[in-house]
Amino acid sequence: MKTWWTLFKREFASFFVSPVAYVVLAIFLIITGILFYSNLLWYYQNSFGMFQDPYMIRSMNLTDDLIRPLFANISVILMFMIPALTMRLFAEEKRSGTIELLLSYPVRDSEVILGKFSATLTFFVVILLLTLVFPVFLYAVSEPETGPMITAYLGCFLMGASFIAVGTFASSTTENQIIAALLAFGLNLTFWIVGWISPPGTGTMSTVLQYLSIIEHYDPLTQGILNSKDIIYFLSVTVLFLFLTNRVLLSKKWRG
Amino acid sequence: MTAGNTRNQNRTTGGILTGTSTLIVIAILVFIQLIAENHNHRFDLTKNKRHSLSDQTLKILENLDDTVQAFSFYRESDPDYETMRDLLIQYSEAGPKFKYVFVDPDSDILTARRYGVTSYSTTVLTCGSRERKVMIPSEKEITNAVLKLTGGDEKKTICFLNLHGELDLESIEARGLNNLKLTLENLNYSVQSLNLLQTKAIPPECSILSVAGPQNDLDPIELDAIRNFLDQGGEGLFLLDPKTVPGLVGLLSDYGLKAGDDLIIDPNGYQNMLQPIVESYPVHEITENFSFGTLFQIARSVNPVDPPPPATTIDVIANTHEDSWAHRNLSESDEIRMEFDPETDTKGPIPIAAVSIKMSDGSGPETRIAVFGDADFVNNNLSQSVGNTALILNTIHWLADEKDLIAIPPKEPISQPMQLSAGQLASAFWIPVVIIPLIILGFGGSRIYHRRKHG
Repeated sequence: MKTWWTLFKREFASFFVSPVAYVVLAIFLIITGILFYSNLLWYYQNSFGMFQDPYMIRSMNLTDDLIRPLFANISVILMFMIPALTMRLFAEEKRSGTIELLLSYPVRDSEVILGKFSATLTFFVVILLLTLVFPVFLYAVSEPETGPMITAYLGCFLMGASFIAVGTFASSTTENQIIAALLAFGLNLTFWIVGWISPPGTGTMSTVLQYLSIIEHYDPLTQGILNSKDIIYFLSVTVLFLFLTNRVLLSKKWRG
Repeated sequence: MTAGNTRNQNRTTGGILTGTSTLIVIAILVFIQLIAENHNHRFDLTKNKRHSLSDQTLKILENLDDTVQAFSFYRESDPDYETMRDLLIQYSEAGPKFKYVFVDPDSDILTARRYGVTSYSTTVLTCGSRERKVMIPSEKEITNAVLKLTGGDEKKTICFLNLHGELDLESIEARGLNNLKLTLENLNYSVQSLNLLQTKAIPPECSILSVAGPQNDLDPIELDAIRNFLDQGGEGLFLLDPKTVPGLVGLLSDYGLKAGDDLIIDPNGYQNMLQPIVESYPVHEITENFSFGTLFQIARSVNPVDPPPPATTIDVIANTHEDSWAHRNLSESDEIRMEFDPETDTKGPIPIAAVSIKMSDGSGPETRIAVFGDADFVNNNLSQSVGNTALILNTIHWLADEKDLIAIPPKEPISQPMQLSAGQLASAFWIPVVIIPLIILGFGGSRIYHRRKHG
């Protein structure tokens, strides 16, 4: 535990040594801010139309028409952004040769992996905390539904954790950070679009491909629906890729 | 043994162990997914639980004796695909005997032909040899289709009286009734026009007689036919515009409902004071869980007769706003005064719809009657308002004694239109897009600068 804590602090502090962390935070907020503003503008203009003719225009709902599209957009941005955060985790240490030194210490591989994973996850939580400016604004001007807001953030957190685990794995396989980022992005994208290639109907292949799709499990959370199977899916993806990272590190020992 | 051989052996062993352990972990995770999929717990955290099925539907699904299979002919690009999919998932999770399958109508033409599907976004529900089509992805439509599939074969007929200037069943114009007709047919009612002067009596297949907005009074022969029909347990739906059909109004008084010689004026009316908005519904089976506004256009009051006729129960089901009033002093040449006259007018709330149940001889068939003080509220134009359609359908279900069909009010997202000031709109842009990023960059820049400066 103490080792994990030491590794966590070292890894988390490393985010803020270079300007990268601040630039990532600022860019993420600018992009999501623009998306939020454009969604808000659309919502406001349609609401205005509704005031003109309240009985003939369909209802406008903050969860369905503003929060859900916003979180759908945020998830796409995360697919690109998280590989940029995770690409250096192991690849940099491999390139500089410090990985051998690190693994020669009396620490377990799993502690190293969890230290790096949890530090990146904590940094990701900081990013998410910044986006709380959007719900704060909505609560100030309207009455958004709290339940769907919480599930949307939970979905974002779980999806982020899965992407970070995928990125950690990708980074452990190479010493080239660009390749690590591309591999992580490719894997994330595969999980994203796998449902698109599922054949119509409810055959086994279709069911499996639909189930593997991240959107299948993320979308209900943005609507305020909490399914136990969705939580378990995200946790399973995270555990699987952290385990695979562990196997990759272990393989260095028996490969010599 | 050489060092090279040892290394090779280590690699082989390591490879086998890694491969095996990876397969075991994947197998465990797949097993966990299977359990999670089959024992899913679903929580709907929206305020009005709009992603959950009503208790009524859950009860029906739990009690299904036969398997109901839904074939949903949708493309993923269809606008209602997600809504229908969300609903079908809920149905299948709630009832093990409800199954569904999505069929791509473009690639599986044979299945589409087999079920007579000619348009996208059609769902065919089957139970044994029976089939029903659902065109609208709503809980009400699907549950009603399930009920019709698993229930009896009886199809109730609603006969709409015509030739007195009533709203036209076939017309797709704003004042027509075609939307209502199609909705009723979709709910398994048979709808037909009735020329009472020709038939002299109401045909035996008519379960419900509907008189929707006659402008000319009925012939005494027709009034007698209607009285006979009602006295023999027929059900009647009467939508009566102001200043019309005094003969029919007199007949209905014998059943406890008196359409007033007045005109309802609502200062908070929809587009003008002659379009009262109704938001108050006294407790009744028809308006249970009813949370919609309904919109009327040039309406009269409908009052319970006092004292009520023997063996008759009367209930008002809709009242106008308390700021409205019933303008009584009507004449052909009179220009309507849009101010309340305490001497002649009646202060709101004004009953605009009422129902009565009359028992014949205390033990015979009961007669159910519903009277509305307006016909236009169900026309093609105003029936687009969700509340109007729901109110008339609930009333018809009540008349037809289709209690199961009543208790499923449509669940819509909570309407939250947003009004923003120019300042609020500007802050929604400047704070997240400019100010906070600048603070972050400034803070980060200064920290890095200090660190480099001070080593």
